[in-house]
Amino acid sequence: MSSKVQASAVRQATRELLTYATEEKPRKFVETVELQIGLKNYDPQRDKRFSGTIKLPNVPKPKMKLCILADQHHIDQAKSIGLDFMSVDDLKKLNKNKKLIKKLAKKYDAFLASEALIKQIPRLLGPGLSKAGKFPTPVTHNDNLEDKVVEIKSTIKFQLKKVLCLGVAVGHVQMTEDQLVNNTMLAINFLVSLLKKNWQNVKSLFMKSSMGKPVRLY
Amino acid sequence: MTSPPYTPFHLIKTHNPTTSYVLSILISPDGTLLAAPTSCGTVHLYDATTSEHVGGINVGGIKEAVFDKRDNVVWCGGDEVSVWDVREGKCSKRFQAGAPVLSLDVNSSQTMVAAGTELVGEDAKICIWDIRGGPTPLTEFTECHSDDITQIKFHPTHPTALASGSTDGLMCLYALTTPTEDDALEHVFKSDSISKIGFFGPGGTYLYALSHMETLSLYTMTGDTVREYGDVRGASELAALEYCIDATYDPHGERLFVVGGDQSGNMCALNVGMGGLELVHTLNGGHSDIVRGVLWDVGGGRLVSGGEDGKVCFWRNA
Repeated sequence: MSSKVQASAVRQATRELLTYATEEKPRKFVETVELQIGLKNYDPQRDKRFSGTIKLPNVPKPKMKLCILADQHHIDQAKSIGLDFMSVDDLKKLNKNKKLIKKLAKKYDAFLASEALIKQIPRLLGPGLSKAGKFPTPVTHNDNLEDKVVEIKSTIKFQLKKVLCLGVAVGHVQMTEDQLVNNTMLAINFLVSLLKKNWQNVKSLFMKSSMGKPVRLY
Repeated sequence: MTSPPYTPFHLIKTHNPTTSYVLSILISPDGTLLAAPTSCGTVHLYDATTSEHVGGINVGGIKEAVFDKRDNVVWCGGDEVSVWDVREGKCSKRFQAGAPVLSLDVNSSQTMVAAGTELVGEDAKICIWDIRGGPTPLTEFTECHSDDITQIKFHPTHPTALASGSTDGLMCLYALTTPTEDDALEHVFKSDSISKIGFFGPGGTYLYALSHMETLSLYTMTGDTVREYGDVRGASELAALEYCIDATYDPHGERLFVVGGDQSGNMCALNVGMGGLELVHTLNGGHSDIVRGVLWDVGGGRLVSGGEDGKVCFWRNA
């Protein structure tokens, strides 16, 4: 499947968007850059509706707060890289209290957990983290914890629901042009590959910063 | 010259019962009747032996249907859960889940039915009813998933073992020996937005999960990950697999297969081995659009498929 959007067009749009957001009208916060895909020939009543994740080449959400539910091995590693952690004993202290688990889920954007601990999570915490959409990602002792943290910070969620539009945050305005172009190209190609008729389901493609104007790509 | 390592299925018959989508193909426990639910709300029926179309019943909005242990009773999930005697064409019971139903299943001892719903407000629910009881569920689970529950599967022989899958990326395994959600939840497997799940293997002690990212993962009922195959599109150079339709387990050969398809309606079956996926069959020239459901009797060499072209195709490999 060939891409209908050339990298040069994405580069042009990115430049336009970045110039506006960083020079013409800078804001007091770091604006997010979103990719918006308008769909056609798609019937959300009958066609598949799904959510998903994409791992982007450059971290789009550097400020994500992570915590590892860790065994001793990972506690030592977490300490060395300055990652928040909770031990089994810490989790036991929550005593399956729903309010405390909800509070824990709110405090972080995502969780990791030592592989050996994953199986105990339902017993230790009940379904609270699942309900919050934050069930931890397993980490083995062979994984490099720092790489895993970067991987999670690079992974973005998207949803195809009843509206005929797909939006994903591909980055922010303090990224370089190259980084944004790479993230956007990867996101476009992956998302379109998941649509049942690929480009035949794409009506429009826009890039947009939080406060900026949408820039059309397709 | 060596023969190709895979064999084609032959198209025996095509029937086009609808202009909407054929969602799946089911078979009655005695193997005599096939049912093909469609997105327009009709369940079409076929004689499994002759492949003759023998009628259809209109059941209303439908997302998933299953036979129960009786041979003529189909449970339909959609706007509500309804129970139909398909030979009489009569509805005997209706349950409300309080939200649109996307998935449902009946357990092996014919005592419970479970349905998974869309996310409405804060909750995506699993409702579990006593089959002989009234419209009030025995229990409702509202915390294990945070998005649409696309799959509900009871274990083939353990009546209290239930698995669910959701677009939130989680597959959950429950022991329904207690009505309390916290205690019933046994294992959580993190994958991607779930499209299909199922029990497989000798004794049904393993689980497979197919995702909307077209990934395949295998797990054990005791909570371990056996293998993650990743994105299986392009797994075979010999046939186009653009999306997964479902997986099928052959209890005689003790093998698991993934059946996939391409946009033009061609299908292929791949053996799921520890070494990877290997093309074993092609099924070309039947469908002309995305295929939604397959029912494959591996030992008998028969396969029935249904798709978005509104067709039901009957195949043989013998």
